[in-house]
Amino acid sequence: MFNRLRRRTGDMRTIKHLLADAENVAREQGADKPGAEHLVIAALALPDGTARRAFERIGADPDAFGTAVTEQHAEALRDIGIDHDDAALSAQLPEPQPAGGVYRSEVSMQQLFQRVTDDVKSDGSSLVGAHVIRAAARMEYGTTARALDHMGIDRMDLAQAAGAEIAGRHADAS
Amino acid sequence: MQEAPIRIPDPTDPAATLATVVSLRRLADRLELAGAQAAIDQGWSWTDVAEALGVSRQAAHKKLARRITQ
Repeated sequence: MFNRLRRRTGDMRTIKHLLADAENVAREQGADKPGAEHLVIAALALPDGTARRAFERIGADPDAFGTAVTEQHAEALRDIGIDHDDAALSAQLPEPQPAGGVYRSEVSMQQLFQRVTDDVKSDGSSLVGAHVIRAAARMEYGTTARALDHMGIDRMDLAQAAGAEIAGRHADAS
Repeated sequence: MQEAPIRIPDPTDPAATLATVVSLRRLADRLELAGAQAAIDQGWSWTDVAEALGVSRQAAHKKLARRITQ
């Protein structure tokens, strides 16, 4: 019982960290609300390191994910004949303002977060970054799936690698 | 030389079409934010910004005011 309570307290801390970081990343990019891709970037920054290691297990660079998100947006627009200078537009955006008030997020982030919490509940482990990566890798469509495809990542391989990280943490904790 | 027109995505590829919509929305959101910041910097009122965007003053203020430097 004490272990479960300790795990839950740790999970709450991780969730708070993830949500705040995802919101900050979104704001830095000029987005109104964080989406699933921002939650993935936040997971990659978690100190447990499991999200980064899941990428590294399959030979992918975790730091390339953020760039892949931007590139796949640019590619989608180029495909219809819009070739714009995204860096120049970024330079015109206001400085990110401090977050406050009610937490707001895109539906893609809410769906990803729901999958993560369902997974954590069902496998009885502590929440780590690899949970976010595993759930994100199982998303079939959307910006996150397209960014992973853009990186040449087999999403099922990434999900398995994230699962191995989660299992490793679970074994260490028990 | 004439500029190439915008190409409509292949309607038989809904994944590509819908991804294009998401990328267009992202571009529109970023343009809206940069434009609103420039407008406020130039002394526009929120009523002016709202009128230019074709939305109510409340809608413009709610969406943009907390994200720009005033």
